[in-house]
Amino acid sequence: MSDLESIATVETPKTQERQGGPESKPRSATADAWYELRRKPLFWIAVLITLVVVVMALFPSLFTPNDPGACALGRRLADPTGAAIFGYDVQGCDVFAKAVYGTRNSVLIGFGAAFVAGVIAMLFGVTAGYFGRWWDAIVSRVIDIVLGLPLLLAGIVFMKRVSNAGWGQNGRITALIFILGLLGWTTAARVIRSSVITTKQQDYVAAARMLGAGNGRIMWRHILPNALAPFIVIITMALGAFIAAEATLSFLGVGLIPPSQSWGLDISEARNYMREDFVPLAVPSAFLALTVLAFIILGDTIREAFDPKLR
Amino acid sequence: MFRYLVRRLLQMILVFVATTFIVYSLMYATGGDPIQALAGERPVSPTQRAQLIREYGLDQPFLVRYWNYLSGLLQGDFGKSLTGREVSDIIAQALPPTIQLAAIAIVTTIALGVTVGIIAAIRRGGWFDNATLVFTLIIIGIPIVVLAPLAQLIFTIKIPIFPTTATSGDLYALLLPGIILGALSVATAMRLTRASFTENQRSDYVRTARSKGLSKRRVVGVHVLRNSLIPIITFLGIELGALMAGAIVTEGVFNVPGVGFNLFRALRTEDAPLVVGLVSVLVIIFLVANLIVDLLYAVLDPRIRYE
Repeated sequence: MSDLESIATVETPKTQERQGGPESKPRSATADAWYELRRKPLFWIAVLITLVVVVMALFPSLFTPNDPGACALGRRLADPTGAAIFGYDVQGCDVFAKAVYGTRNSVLIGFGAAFVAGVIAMLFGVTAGYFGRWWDAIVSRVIDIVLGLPLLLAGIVFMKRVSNAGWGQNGRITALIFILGLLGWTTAARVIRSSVITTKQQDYVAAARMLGAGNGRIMWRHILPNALAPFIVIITMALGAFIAAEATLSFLGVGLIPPSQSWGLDISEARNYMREDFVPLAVPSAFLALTVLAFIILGDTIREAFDPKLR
Repeated sequence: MFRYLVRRLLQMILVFVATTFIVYSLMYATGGDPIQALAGERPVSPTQRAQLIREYGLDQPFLVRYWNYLSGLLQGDFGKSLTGREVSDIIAQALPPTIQLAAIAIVTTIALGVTVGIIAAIRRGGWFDNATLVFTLIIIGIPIVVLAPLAQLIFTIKIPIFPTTATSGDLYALLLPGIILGALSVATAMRLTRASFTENQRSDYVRTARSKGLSKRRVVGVHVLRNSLIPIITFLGIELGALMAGAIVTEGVFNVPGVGFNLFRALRTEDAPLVVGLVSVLVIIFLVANLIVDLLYAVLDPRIRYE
């Protein structure tokens, strides 16, 4: 996660209007960014993959008629058929159906953890930057401490406790959402904080205060919108990182456990017999890589669109 | 400078105490029965249990135990693993392979990431630049759980140029896992180098150097390069710490008997002293790397002054 900060520092777009474009009316920074964004094919590819993944998570039966849990040892490593387009794995389960049904947990955990991380980052980042003083000092030290625990390392130790507590499938999903969220909010909070510190000295903030706006209103209506662009970039990229982290933890045996469907679990199992047949390894790997890639590209293209220096 | 150093050291101590406390309490306060974990499947008689509890200091309050652990740590005493071996022995054995892995990763990052980044920045907008951008995006997007098994499949089984596992720990066997471990850093370094190089190429001093009539080679090789290296060196320093912690998957896949491998095995066997010891070492390396980078920053860039 350390590299996200350097990738995602977005320059605050200049307010002066830009020359050119199809109609030379003055545009807002967001409209400007949107104009840049919608011309990029890479952005639309990423949007398409994201949409497919989300639909797959919501309605997996649209993509495959087979049940991922219906396995028969008789068709161990059997070749592809019309019904199972990528064949069967070592337990005789449909490889494609397993990957399709694994989407739900990945997406659920990714979005859930990103939501938890986003809320925490926003609360702490905005208040720390706005109020400063002792509150800022405390928040900054807490961020230091959380950053001192690498995501994967801490995730393993935390999830090991959950395993010992003997939680069920849903309990593990909830635990993953909160653990990843609690460990992954720091970069976003730092970015919001520094952006708030620069915005709060602007004249229009002083004007709002003079007009009698309270702290809450100033933070929510006048300061937060300025920090939103870099925040969205970081959270989008973090979403990909959370999905990858879930797969990694499941791969290591401390994330989700069977009978839950997870790409990490599939990869970990298929690795044992990849000499015999590599398709059961390749399919969940491709699903995972494409999903994470889509979120990274999404974040990257949005960042470029908001950064006037790169135009 | 001195005041800054003191402040940074105090911050470091706080982070170290807090992180080890979190891991310590997770491993001890909520864990199962450590005595039973020690004995394995065998039954433990009450007298044995009482003796073991006293031996491991489990009869003392939790905070006292943590304090004892921390003061032991300061004297280099990591305590005893549940297997009876000294934790410091295990660490001394596990560190070299992990350091070698991280070193290979860093060398790959410098050799490949920085060079390609510079070429991409000089020929900005060309096909090489665009290909690099797409390539780095793909590498950043592929998680290591996909990359490591896939590389193992392709380069050790389909095209057997590397040994499948690196248990022996000789340098050639560590090459492939090292490169895999460094893949993400390579991609990030490429992007960082390109961005920093591009920015510096547009700066005033470059224009001055050019208008003085200096050759392009000298402008790029001396003036731009030196200034562009500052953020890259910081990145490398921070990455070194992160790489050592991130080696868990790579070491697991390639059977490298390093820190990550041992850490994971210790977690499986509920070996709390070993887990806490290994995590403490990783956190210390991470923090020290960060501190050195911060100080190096001031050395490399005289404009930066720490108050």
